[in-house]
Formats: sequence, structure tokens, C-alpha cells
Amino acid sequence: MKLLAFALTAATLVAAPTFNKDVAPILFENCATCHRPGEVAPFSLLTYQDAAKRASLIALATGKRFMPPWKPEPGFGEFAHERRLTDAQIATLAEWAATGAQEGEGPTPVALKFPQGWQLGQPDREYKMPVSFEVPADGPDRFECFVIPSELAQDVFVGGAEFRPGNPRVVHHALVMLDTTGRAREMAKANNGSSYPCFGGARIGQGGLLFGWAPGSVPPPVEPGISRRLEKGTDIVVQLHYHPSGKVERDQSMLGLHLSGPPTKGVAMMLMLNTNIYIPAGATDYRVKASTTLPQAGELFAIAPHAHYLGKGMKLTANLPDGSTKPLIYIKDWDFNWQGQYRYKDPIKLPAGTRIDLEFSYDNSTANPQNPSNPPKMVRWGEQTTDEMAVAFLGILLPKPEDVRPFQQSVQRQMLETILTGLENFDDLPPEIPPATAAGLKRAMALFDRNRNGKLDEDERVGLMRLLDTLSPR
Amino acid sequence: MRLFLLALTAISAFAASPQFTLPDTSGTRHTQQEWRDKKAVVVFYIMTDCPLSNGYVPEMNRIAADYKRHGVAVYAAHADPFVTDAAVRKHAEEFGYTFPVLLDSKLALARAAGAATVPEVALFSPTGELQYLGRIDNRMEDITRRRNAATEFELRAALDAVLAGRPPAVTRTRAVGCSINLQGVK
Repeated sequence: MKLLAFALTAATLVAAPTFNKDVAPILFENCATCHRPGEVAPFSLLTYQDAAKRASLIALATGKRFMPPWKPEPGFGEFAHERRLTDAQIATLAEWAATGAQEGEGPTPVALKFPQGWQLGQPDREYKMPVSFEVPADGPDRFECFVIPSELAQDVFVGGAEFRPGNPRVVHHALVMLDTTGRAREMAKANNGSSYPCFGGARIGQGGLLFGWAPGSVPPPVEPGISRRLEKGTDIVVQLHYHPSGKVERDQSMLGLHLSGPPTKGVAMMLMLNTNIYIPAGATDYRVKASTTLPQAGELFAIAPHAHYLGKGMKLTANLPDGSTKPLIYIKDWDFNWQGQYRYKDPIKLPAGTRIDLEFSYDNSTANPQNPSNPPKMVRWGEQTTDEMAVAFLGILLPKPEDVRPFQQSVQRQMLETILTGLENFDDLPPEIPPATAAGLKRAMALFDRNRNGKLDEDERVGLMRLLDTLSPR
Repeated sequence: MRLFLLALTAISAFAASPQFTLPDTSGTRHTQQEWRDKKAVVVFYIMTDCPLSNGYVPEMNRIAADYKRHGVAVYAAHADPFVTDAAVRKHAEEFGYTFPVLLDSKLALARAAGAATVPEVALFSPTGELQYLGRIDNRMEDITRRRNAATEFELRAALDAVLAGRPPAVTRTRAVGCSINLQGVK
């Protein structure tokens, strides 16, 4: 018995992982981008002292895969800059904590030098949020849209962009959008002159998304071939998601743009959505679906699914014309606070006629701790925290810049058909459809509602879509 | 066996009656003596660099404001053997605690209650008996998942019970946050 105990102890001594040899490489490679001084994470993991103090928290957070924050399931799309620990790495961290978080022999490991300041180099244009924004100490998260005039003398092309949080303690994610309609500027003017609250979105129509940022995300490289035109007079709209920290904080974040020549390829930011959401109170697995068929071959290079606090699972799948399927992304355990924009390691080639299916599930019961309503209530599409959404942005490369317009027209037509198909009431048109269009559409729907039941039956919808097709520009 | 029981009794006796002399961030010394004329004692275990703990400061201050006038003493105790006193002072000032923040690098108060996490809260009787230990409320489901608003308020419920002369219905809950590291204590 004594001998066995001794053998066990000896084995443990031999096998026990140490910081210097086993743990530091894992932490430096996967955690230190954020967990270092001045960055978004609340504490640093660069030294033995830093890490040993947190050994059991590290074991817990990695064991449950809370950290590093990476939501897509493996096997459903291969993404660049994937932050996912292997089972072996997680086991090492757990064993390290369980065996007393030893420092070990050998030289003190030194983390790589992280680039300071702009990760993509000095941008051609720097924009600061128009004001230093005050984030309250407490209460629900805040979502604010800042409107920055681009102040351009002429149209330019943006080949790359980077976001830098002003106060990493409170900035939780950022979406950078372009507004050529002037609507954002008006909403800011009606509020305080420079920004307006915007939980669900900027309310400036679709397609204006330039890029997104989340803690730990790596800015996409500058790619002149797929540059985006930034028209003179455009406003840059930055939606910032703030987490209160426990004390009043201020933030003034920054945006850098890298200019380049005109694009040689087309980039379509394809929006998939279904606004017909009617989630009964207590429903644990409510499903929303949408499908879009690609009118032209393209390469899918990025994807960003989006829902609010009831979102549970989200899956997008490509059904190719030859009958095969390709998984695009699967998020099994959606967490609003860790939504991301995911770029594929290699763009996925999708032939013309590929049907992309979106399927989201929602939990509107009390078992969902993030349910904003207690007791749960019936939830519909909308932009408030208590509403829901079913949206995915897909970045698709097309052979030529001229391909984008007809591609988007086809996609938008399909989106409209999806909206009209499940619409239970003409007044339920989502706010994403511009008011003038919505008013015209409502009149047209009333006209085509021949049996006057207040919604479009299938034959009525087909008639309306045919009319819209003859009216729309070719 | 008897020795074991004796040891156990000694430990629980110690656990039931914390003996301490600790300075707060303004330099004032606090001892268990000052608990005697109170109706109840609340000790929040905190750290300077645990975001979940920091996020609770406004609610800790609200609880202090709501219960101090009913004769409840409220303290925060630092449960981090590695932090410097200077960092603790700076943090207390930044976050604006409205009650004494005790410097407790030997973790005497965390040991007294058996606290293992921050933010965690202990509710003691004036004589030092532990009446509640666990989370403040259920705002945090786990370390990354937060409710928009708490729906269970265990500390407030325990305080209300004690002030009404009843034992708390719930005496233990699991706190969610950063682990207290007892290994680092010299």
C-alpha cells in the first residue's frame, strides 16, 4: 500500500504539468491577445504569478469552453483565427490547477511581443467617435450608434478597416456601417447630436455593414481587390455594445480606414432574414427558417449570424445544385454577448443555384437565464432587447464588381418573398423596410388581397411578386 | 477518532466566531467587537480585478443603503493574498464603496465563513454565527452568462428573515465568480 502510494506520488510528480513547460505556451498562444495589460480582458495571464492566482478559474472557464470565447462548433465550416483549445490542452490546464499550479524548472517563458496600437499599421484615415460617451455604472447593457461624418472631398475605396476600443473595460462589440441615406444623422440630431440608442440595429437599411469587432478578434487583412466604395457625403455609423463595469466609465473608441484602388472583384454583403417571428411564452424550441438561392456562383468568405437573448441554436447550410450539402456554420449554444463575424480559412465556392438554408431555434421559457422577460411573454420580431431577430450576414465574393447589383436585387426579392409568406398582418412589415417602400407595399398588398382576409394567400402573393418583378429595374 | 472530533469542534468553533483586527482602506481598525450591538453583519468578499465582483459594487452599495438603517453592519473584505494595499485603496476609491473595505491579505474573514469565490457574501449574527453564505442574487447564471435582471435575491431575503427574527430559509447558495486562492497565503 505504502509503495503504491509512493508510486502514485512519484507519477504525479513526474507528470504534473508546470507553468514554464506546459501551461505558458497554451496561455500565450490562446489567451494573451486579450489577457494582457491594457487589453479587453479583466486580468493579465502573462506571468506565473498572474496565472497561478487564477489556476482554478482558468480550469473552470476552459473546461466549460467559456474561454476562449469561440461559439462555432467544429466540423461546420473552417474559420480563420479559430480560438479553440484542444481537449488535451484543456486537460493540461485542469491538471495544472489540480496539482497545485506549479511553476516548474527551466527558463521563465516570455510571451511574444504583441503589436502596439493599430494592428494593420497606420491607417490612411483615423476617425474618433464624436464624443466621449458616459457608460453608467450599473444596469442593462447599453447599445449606442455613433454617427461620424466621413468628411471626404471625393469618393474613395476602403481596402481594410480596424476598430480600436477606447475603454476596453466596457466596449463589448462594435459594428461599423456606412449610411448614405442621412437617416442615422437625423436620428442622432433628434437625440443628442452625435449618437442615438440602437440595441437591435442602426435602422439605416441593409447592406451597409462594413465590418465588425469583438474582443480578441483579428482585423481582416487589407484586401484592395475587394475594396468597398465610400461615397462622398457618407456617414460612418458605429454601433457600440457597452457592458457596465460597476463604476461610471467613459469611452471614445477609434476607427481606422485603409484606402486603396477600386475593387477588381464584387463583394456582396448578403442578408438573410425572416421577420415572421411569433414565439409563444414558454416555448423551449421555437424554430425560424429562411432560404435564399444564389442567382450566380460566388465564394462565401465570411458569415455572421445574429439573434437576441432568446436565441439558442443557429445553423446555416448550403444545398448545392448537385444534391450535396456543405455546412456553413453551427452555433449550438448562442450567447448574445459573444456574437462574432467569422471569416472562413478558405472561401467556400458555391455554384449558381445553391440554396442556403438558415434555421434558428429559440428558448422563450424561464429555463433560459437570459430571457429578458420574467415571466416570459409572446415575442415577435423587433429591435428591442425584449424582441427577437433571425438574421445572418454572408460576405460573398463575385467575379466582377458589376455583379453585385443584380445579385443583391435577386437576394432582396427572395427576402421580401420570405417576409410576405409568413406575414400574418399587413401592419407587421418590419422596420427594416424603408417607410416609403412599406407604405407602397401595404397598398399593393391590400390590392392583391382579393379575398380580404387581411393577409396574402399563396396565389395572391405570387401575383404581387410577379407585378414587382415587372416593375423592378433590370 | 476523539482527537478528530475535537479538532472538528475546534474548527467549527473558530468558524462560528471570527476573531479579527483588520484595517480598512482609510486606516481605521475594525474588530469583531463592533459587531456586538448590530442586528446582523454582512461581509462581501471582493477582489480588485474580478469583473463580476466589480459589477456588483452598485448593488452592494444599494444593499448597504437599504439595510444599514436597520442596524446591519456592512463590510467588504479583500480576498486576494497577492494584491497590494495600495492597489486595494485605489480600487476602493475608484468604485466608490459606501462601507468599510477591509484589507485582509491573510484571508481571515474568508476562512471564517468558508468563502471560496468572489463576489460571495456572508451573513453573520452579531455573535459571529454564519447565517448565510453564497451569491448576492442570481444575476449571474455562470461566469459568462448574465441575466438582464436578477429574479432571486437570496442575500436580501436572508437579511429580511434575520431582521424579522427568523432563520433564513436559504442558508447556502453557489456563488459565481473568481476563485479565492488560499494557496497563495503565506
